[in-house]
Amino acid sequence: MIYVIDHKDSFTHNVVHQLSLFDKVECDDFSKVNKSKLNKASTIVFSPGPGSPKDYPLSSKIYKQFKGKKKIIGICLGFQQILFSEGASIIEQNKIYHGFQSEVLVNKSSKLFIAGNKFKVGRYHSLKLKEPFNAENFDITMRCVISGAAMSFENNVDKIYGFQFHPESFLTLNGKLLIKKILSA
Amino acid sequence: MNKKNYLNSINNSQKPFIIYKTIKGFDLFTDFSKKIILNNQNIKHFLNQNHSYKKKYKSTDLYIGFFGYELLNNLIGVKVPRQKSINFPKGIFYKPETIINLKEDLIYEPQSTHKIDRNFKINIDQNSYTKIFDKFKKKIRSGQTYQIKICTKYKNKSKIDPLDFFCRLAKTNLAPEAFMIKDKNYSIISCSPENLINKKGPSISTKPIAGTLRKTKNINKRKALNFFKNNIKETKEHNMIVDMERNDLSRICIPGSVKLKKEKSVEEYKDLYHYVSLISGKLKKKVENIDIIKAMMPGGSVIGCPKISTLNLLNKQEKENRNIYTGSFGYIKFNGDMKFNIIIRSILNYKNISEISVASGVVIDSNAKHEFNENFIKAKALIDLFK
Repeated sequence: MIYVIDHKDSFTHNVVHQLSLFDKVECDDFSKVNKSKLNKASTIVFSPGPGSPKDYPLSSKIYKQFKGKKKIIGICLGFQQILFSEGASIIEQNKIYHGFQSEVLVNKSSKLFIAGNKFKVGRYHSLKLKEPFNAENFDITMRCVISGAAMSFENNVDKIYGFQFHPESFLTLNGKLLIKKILSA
Repeated sequence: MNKKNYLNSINNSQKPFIIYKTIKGFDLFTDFSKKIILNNQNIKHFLNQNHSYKKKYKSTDLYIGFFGYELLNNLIGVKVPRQKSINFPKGIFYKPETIINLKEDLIYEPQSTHKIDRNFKINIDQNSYTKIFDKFKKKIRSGQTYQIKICTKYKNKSKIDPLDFFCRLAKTNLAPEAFMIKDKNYSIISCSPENLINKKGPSISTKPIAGTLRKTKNINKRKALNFFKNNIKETKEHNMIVDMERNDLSRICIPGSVKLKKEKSVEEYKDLYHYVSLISGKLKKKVENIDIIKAMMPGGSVIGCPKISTLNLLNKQEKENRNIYTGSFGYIKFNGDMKFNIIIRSILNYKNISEISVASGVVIDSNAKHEFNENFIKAKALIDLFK
């Protein structure tokens, strides 16, 4: 079972819908997380959401508790939430991407995707990862073709993955494939 | 009864009635046997009434009416702080015993000429509007909202003939979700263009509008499409709404069934072009009426995105109750089918005060002066009826 932790976003159920094509999915509000569902889940997903990771200490706590024990996936805010919990700074961008389709490029550090591949993806983020960023076993594996902003990471040791963009958006052309790859990793 | 004179006679009869646009003309609902004033306590019961004991449905087996904005907020657990209020009901539904089909050309001769005041007062001037606008832009930069719609309200004191207003509005601006309600102590006249819920059996669809272009001699449908496609701001706003409506349908639909049926197409109306998408899905088996209303309302395209966080920002900011504005009007049939619009481009007349609310969106690249004027243009079509 995949357990989606919802940060009250208007895109969370697109994520749930997409994940449901692969496994049973449960979804609860971040403030009403159910312990037995957490323990039962094989994968925990941190949803997109408004605001910044510092607004969701409960989600960081869950991340730290289950890191290395279960597969963990973060999308948009969820992506930032994981990196923030790993000590990263999440900062405002000069140019903001809401409802924007852009291209991301896979680099050599990816184990799941082929380096040099490009994907058209939908973006909804005000904030971004401040770089340089270093955490053990974490690699930035996709970047925006134009701005170079971090768009995906992989931690293949602890099975932790994240997308800054929205694989569930209609603006992302191969969203299903992207999700399938990390679910089967 | 002669249909030609029907409007005049029903208007003179002082009976409450409702007119709602259909594909070919209008339906008129009257002879109400029940009137239900909704509040936070009775709405759940109202929505979950089970009528399935009936074997054969009549066309009048339905409730028609509206949900106000505050009621819809409360239904999804969003609080609206104490605001300036005219104490207008939070929602009203009627059970009609008569439905009459009317042709598109509504014939009505207003009998008495009310003296109408044409002066309107706006509740937020351009200065205050700009301040709110800048505040919300900061909230976009910090990621608390991606798109938010600031509402301004125009008010005046006057006695109006709502049927006359509606007939004139139908001539100049025949909107696909137009409706009017005339009851003893209030009336609503609306040229809403936007359908929020269209449910038949297990099928449900929503048709959000984001993007409006005024018609001129030099523009045709193809040019309008190019305009929208090349306008990055409009496109981004529209994309956001499409993903949000997909999300809302996904809450209640079978996984994999939510489909974007029409992506960013242009629809032509009498005075303008709209940039619309059509999203549909198949409802999960155990979904009840209340689940549908909670998932879809208030309609996202007129609020902003993400819904909950944006509603909270709006409610903290707004000093006056929205009443019907950005609520929903429509009907629920006893067999569970329903149709609802989003209440925009409307006049609420209550206690001889008319109010017209309008809103336009703040996204990261919008401009305060432009949006303030855009609000006025939207209100003007309705203000012009006051003559």
